[in-house]
Amino acid sequence: MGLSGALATSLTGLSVTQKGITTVAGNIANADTVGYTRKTVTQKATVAGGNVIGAHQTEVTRELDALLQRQMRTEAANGTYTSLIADYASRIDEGFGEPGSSTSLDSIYNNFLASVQALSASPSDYSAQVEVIGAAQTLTSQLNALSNNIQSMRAEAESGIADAVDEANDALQQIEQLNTAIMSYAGANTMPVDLLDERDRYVDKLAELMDVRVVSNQNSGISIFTTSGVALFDGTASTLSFDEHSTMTAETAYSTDPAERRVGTIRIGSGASAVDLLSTNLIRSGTIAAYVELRDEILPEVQGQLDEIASSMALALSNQQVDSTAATSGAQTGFDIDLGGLQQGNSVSVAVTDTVSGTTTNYTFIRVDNAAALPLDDTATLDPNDTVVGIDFSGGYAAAAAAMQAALGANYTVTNTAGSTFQFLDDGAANLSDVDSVSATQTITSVTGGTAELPFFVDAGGGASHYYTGSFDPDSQKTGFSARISINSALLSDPSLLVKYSTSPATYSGDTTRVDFLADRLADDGISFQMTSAANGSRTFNGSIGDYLREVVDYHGSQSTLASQRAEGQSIVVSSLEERFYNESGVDIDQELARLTTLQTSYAANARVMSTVKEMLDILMQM
Amino acid sequence: MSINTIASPMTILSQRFVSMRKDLLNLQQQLGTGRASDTFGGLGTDRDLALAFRSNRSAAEAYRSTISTLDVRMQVMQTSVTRLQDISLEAKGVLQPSVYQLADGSQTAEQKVARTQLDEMASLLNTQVDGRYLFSGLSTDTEPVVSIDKIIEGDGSRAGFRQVMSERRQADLGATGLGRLTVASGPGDGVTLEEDAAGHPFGFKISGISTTSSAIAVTGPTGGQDTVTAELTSLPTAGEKVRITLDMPDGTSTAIELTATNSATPGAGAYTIGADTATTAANLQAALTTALGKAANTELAAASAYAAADNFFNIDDANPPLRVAGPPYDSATALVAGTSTDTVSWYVGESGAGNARQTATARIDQGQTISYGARANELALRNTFQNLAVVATQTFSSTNGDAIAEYDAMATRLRTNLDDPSGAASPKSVSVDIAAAQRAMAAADDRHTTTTNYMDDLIDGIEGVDTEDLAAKILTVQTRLEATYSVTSMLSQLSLTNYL
Repeated sequence: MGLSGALATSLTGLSVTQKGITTVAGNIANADTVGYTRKTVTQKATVAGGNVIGAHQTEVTRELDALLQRQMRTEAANGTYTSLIADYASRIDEGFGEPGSSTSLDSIYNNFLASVQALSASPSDYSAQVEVIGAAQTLTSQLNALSNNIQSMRAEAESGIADAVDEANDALQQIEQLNTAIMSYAGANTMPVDLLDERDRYVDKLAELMDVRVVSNQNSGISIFTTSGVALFDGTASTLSFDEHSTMTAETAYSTDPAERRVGTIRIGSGASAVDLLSTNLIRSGTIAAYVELRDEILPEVQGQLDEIASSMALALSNQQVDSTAATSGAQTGFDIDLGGLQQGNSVSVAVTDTVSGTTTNYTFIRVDNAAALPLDDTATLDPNDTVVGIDFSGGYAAAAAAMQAALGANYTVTNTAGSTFQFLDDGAANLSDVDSVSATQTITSVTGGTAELPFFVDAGGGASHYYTGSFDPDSQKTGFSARISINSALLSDPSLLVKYSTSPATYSGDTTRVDFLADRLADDGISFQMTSAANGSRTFNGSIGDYLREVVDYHGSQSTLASQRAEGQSIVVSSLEERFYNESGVDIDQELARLTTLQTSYAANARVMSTVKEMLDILMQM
Repeated sequence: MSINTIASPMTILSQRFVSMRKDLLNLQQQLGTGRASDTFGGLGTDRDLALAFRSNRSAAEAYRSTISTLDVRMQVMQTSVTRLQDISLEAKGVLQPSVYQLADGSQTAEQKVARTQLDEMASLLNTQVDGRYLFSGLSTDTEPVVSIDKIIEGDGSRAGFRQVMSERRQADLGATGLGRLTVASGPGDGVTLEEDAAGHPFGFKISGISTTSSAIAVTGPTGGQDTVTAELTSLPTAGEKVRITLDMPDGTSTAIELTATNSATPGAGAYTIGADTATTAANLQAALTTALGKAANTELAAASAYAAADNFFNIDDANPPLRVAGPPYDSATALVAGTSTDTVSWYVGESGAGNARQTATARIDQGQTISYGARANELALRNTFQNLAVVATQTFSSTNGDAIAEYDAMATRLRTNLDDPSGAASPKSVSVDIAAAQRAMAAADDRHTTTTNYMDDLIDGIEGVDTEDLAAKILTVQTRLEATYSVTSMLSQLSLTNYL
C-alpha cells in the first residue's frame, strides 16, 4: 500500500471523527432536551484483503435501557394515578373545613346542637329560636355546598377524562406517523434515532394517561396494548371516543347498560364493534383510571355519606313510631295498627314466628306508590336480618293489605278492617304461626299537628310533596338529598313553631316538649347508618348523627393522608427511576467534552498523518 | 403540549428544592397559626380524638351557657321569693287585732299598708328576666298576675274580688243576718236552731250543742239539715250554760254560749231566768238570736271574706273561680264556676295539672335535668297574696258597732293563715326548691368547666404545635436547604467546560 493509501485511510479517519464531533455537538446541544437520549457513534476499522484501509462509522446508537424504560412507564402511570387521587382526596378533606374553625362541618353541627340546647333553656326567646333556625340553615347550606362541591369535582373528573382521551388520541396519531416513518428505514444501515426518541416521548405520554404495554415488532415497529390487552396501536392507531356529559348530579351514575348510563364512557372502535372500556375495567391506571375511579367510586361514596347524614337528620326529627294494639278474631290473635299516616318510604315492621320450625322472620313492608319501584332491594333497610317487601299503596288500603298477605303467606291473615286500620292475625287454632309484633314508622308532615315530631328538614327538590320520607318512588329519595336538604319554610317564616307543636290547645310558650325531643333525637346514639368505604365495603355504623358525621370526617381525613402517602411513595419511585434513566441515557456534559477532546486529538492526528503524507509526496515530487 | 416524563437533571434537582421549600413553608405556617394542620387529614391518626373532644367540649360549653342563663333567672327568682317571704312576715306584724282606727272612713292605715304590700307582691310575681315571666308556669310570655286594681275592683262587666266577697258575704249571712240559721221555739218550752237548707256551703254549720244544766235537754245535731234543740224541762239555775258550736266557711269555728242569769237586764250572752220555763225559753230564744246575729256580723263575716278569697284566688285550669249562684245571693244554695266573661281571673299564667316546678326544666348535663318553674297560683306563693287581698279589700263602717269585732276576727285570721309551721304554704318552700336546683347547677358547672379545660388541653395537644419543637425543625430544614443550595452552586461550577 502506498502513500495514497495512507492518505485515503486518514481521510476516512477524519470523516469518522467529524461524524463523532457532530454527534457530540448534538448531545451537548440537547443536554437539557426532555426525552433526548445520548447518542454514541461506534466506529470500526475498514479492512480490505487483510489490510486496514480506513475507519468507518457503523451506526449511531441510543443509550437506552429498554427494561428500565418499560418499568418507568408502568410507574409513571401509577404516579399520575396516585397523585391525582391524592389531589382529590385532599380536596375532599379540605371540604370538611379546618379543624376547630367555625366553618368545619363538625363545628357547624356542634353549633346546631348547642343552639337547640340553648333554646331548651329559653323556649320562648325569639332570638334563641332564630339561632336554632340559623344554625340549622348553616348546616344545610354546608351540606348543600359539600354535595355541590362533590358533584363539580365529578364534573371536573368527567372533563378530565375527555381531555385525557383527546391527548391519548393525539399521542396515538403521532405514534402512528412516527412508527410509519421509522419502519421505512427498514434495511437501512443507520437507525433514525431521533425519530425513535420522538416516538418514545409520545409513548411515555400515553403511559401517563393509561397503563400500556409496548411490544416491539420487526423493523423497529411497535404495538401498544393496554395491560388488560386491548390493542391501542397496531400499525394503525385505534380511536378512543368519550361522550362527555356536562351535567353531573348525585343521580347521574355510570351503568354498563347504555340506557341507564348517565355519564360518559370511553369506547374504542366504532359502530357495533365499539367496546366500552369502562364496563369491565379495562383501563387500570394512569390519569384516565384515576378520573374514572374518582367519578364513579370515590366521589359518589362521599356523596352517599353526605346523603346519609342529611337523610338521618331529616328522619330523626320527623319520624314517629306507630304502635299496634292487640287484636283477636275467634281463635286468631294478632295486632291492629293504623297505617293512615304512612308515607311513601315509611315502613311497617312485622315479626312472625313459624311455630313448627321455631324461626322468626322480621318483615319490613315499605310503602311505595309506584309499582315501577317494585320489587325493592333488601338493602333498602340497613337491618341485614329483615326481609324487605315493597308494598304498593296506590291501589288503596285493601290492595296493600292483600300484598302484605301475599308476602306473609297463608298462615297469616292481613286485612284492612276499617278505614286505614290493618289487622295482622296468626292462624288461630292450628297454631302453626304467631304474629309477635307489629309496629310502623310514619313521617309527620304537619308542623303543628300536636306531635313533637316535625318535618324540620325538607326536600327542596321533591316535586308535589316536599317532605323527606326516604321514598323509593321510583328512585331513592336519599340519593343526592344532601344537595337538596333545606329547612321547612313554615319554620323559616315562624321560628316559634320550634316550640309550638300544637295550635289547639295552643302550646304554652315555655313548653320544652318539642325542643327536648329535638335535642334527644339529635343525641340519640342508637341510630344505624350506612358507612360505605372503598376499603371496607358497606358496613353498618351505630351511633348518633354527630358520631356518624365525625366518623365521615375522620374517614376522609385518613383517606387523604393515605392517598398522599401513596402518592409520595410513588413519586419517589418515579423520580428514582427517572434519575436512573437519566444516568443511563442522559447527556453528561463532562463526558461529552472528554469525548470531544479525544475526537479533537484524533482529528489532529489524522490531519497530521495527511500533512506528513503530503510532505512525503512533496519530497517525492522534488526528486 | 408539554411532554416531560423524563426529567432533566435540573428538574430532578429543582423538584427536591421545591419539596424542601414546601416543608419549610408548611412549618412556617404552623408556627404562624399555632396549628398543626389546616385539614383533618393533616392531624394524623388522632383526628378522631380531636373530633370527639371538640364535640364533648361543645356540649360542655352549651351546658355552661344554659347554666349561666338559668343562674340569672334563679337568682332573680330567689330575690323575688325572699321578698315575698318578708312581706308575709311583715303583714303578720303590721295588722294587729284590737288596733282599729279607721283612717279614711272605711279602712284602717294598716289596711292601706296591706294594699301596698299586695301591689308589691303582684309586681314580684310578675318578675321577668329577659322577657321571660318566672312565675307564670309554662306560659313564660304571659304576665301571670293582672293588676291589683282589676283583681279587686273588677274589669268592666267582669267581677273583681270585692264583688265576689260581697256576694259571698250576703250568701253567708243570709237575709236575716243569722248566718243562714233559723231560730224557732219548741219543742215544748224550748228553742230550735236549724240550718235554713241542707247541703249548701254557706253560713254557719251547726256542729254541736251542750249544756251544763240538768234542767235543759239538748238534742242534735241531726240530719243533713242540721238541727239542735234545747228544751227546758225545769228552770235552770243561774250560771248554767248552753253552748252551741258553729263551723264557718273558712274552716274556723265559733261557739255561742248562753248563760242563765237572774238579772233582769242580762248582758251579752246571757238570758234571764223567768218565772216559768216558757218565759225563760222565750228569753233564751231572744238571747240566742242576738248572739247569733252578732257572731254572724263579726266572726262569720270575717270567715266569709277568707272563704271568698279561697273561691276567688285558689284557681287553676281545672278549677275556675267560684261565685255564689244568684242573685238573690242571700238565699243562694250553691257556688257556680265563674267564667272569663263574668269574673276576673287574677292569675292568667299556665296552670295545668303538673307540678309547678316541672313547668321549667333544663338539661344541665347528660342525663341531668333540673326543674325550677313556679306559678303565682301555687299555694306557697298565693297564700299570703289571697289573705292580704281580704285585708286590703274589706271595708268597715264607723257606724257599725260590730266593726271592731269583725276587724279583730279578720286580723286574727290573717295571723293564723299566714302562720305556717309546716312551711308548705310559705314562699320559703319555693326558695328551698330553687336553691336545690342552684346547688345542682353549680356542681354541674364545675364539672363542665373542668371538662372544657381538660378538652382544651387535649385538643391543643393534637391540633396545636410545640413552638420550640417547631423552631428546631425549621432550623434543621433551613440548614439542609442552605447546604443543598451551596453544594448545588459548587457542583454547577464543576464542569469540564471551565477547564478546557
